Amino acid sequence: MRLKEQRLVLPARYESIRRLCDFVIGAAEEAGLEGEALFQVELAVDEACTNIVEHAYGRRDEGEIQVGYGIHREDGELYFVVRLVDTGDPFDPTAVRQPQACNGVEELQVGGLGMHFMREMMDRVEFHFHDGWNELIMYKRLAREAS
Amino acid sequence: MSSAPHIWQQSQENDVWLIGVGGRLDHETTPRLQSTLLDLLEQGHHRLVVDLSETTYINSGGLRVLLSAWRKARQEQGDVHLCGLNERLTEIFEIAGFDRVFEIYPAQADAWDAFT
Repeated sequence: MRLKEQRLVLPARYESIRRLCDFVIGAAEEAGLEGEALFQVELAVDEACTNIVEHAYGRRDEGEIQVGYGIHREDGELYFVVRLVDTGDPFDPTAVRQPQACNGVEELQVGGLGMHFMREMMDRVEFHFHDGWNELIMYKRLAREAS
Repeated sequence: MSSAPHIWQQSQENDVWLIGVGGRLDHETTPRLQSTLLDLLEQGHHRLVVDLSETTYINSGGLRVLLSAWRKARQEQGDVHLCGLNERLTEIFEIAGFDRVFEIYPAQADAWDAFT
């Protein structure tokens, strides 16, 4: 399988999210993902971009989202990898309470729902905070390499 | 069937209103669903059925709008019932825990019959 690593940079606005998702989904399909897995990658990228617009940039209509993808090989497994970069405020995922932790439906909170979806939809999610920029890397398993 | 996003509404017997979402429920269509639901609730219609049988995608923003409408309807002794979720939407609702919040029915008729 060959998949050239590519990147797309767009303004950090809600209007950009669909195009960023389509950019990733086209590559994910080319990498061999289909059906349910494609839907899951799309939702994870959608929620990740939404978090950047709403939390990293605080809906200030400034900054950009850089989305890239590629293939990663690790321990005999192949992964489709999505990488998102922004220069907004650092976003601490550990501060987000998981929806399931709430007591009872009347108290159900949806603030951490996007983060919850990202973790559920992908096989691995990593956050890295650098000096002035944030990096989110999400992995979706493709297949085990033939030995 | 076209998947172009669209939202429609229709009154039923006993002041039950039916709202349908066709296509993707994303950043583009969610504000339209929100205003449709809020308009009905502000007009005093608190028994709503949201038909998702033609909905191909939903994200946390769409879920948030449905939950907000459900809370407002319940405050007025009403409710928001859902129907027609496909397998993917059902999975999303389950992962979010929303299947424990909403009454979810296979078909429209079941969802509005439950109000009577």
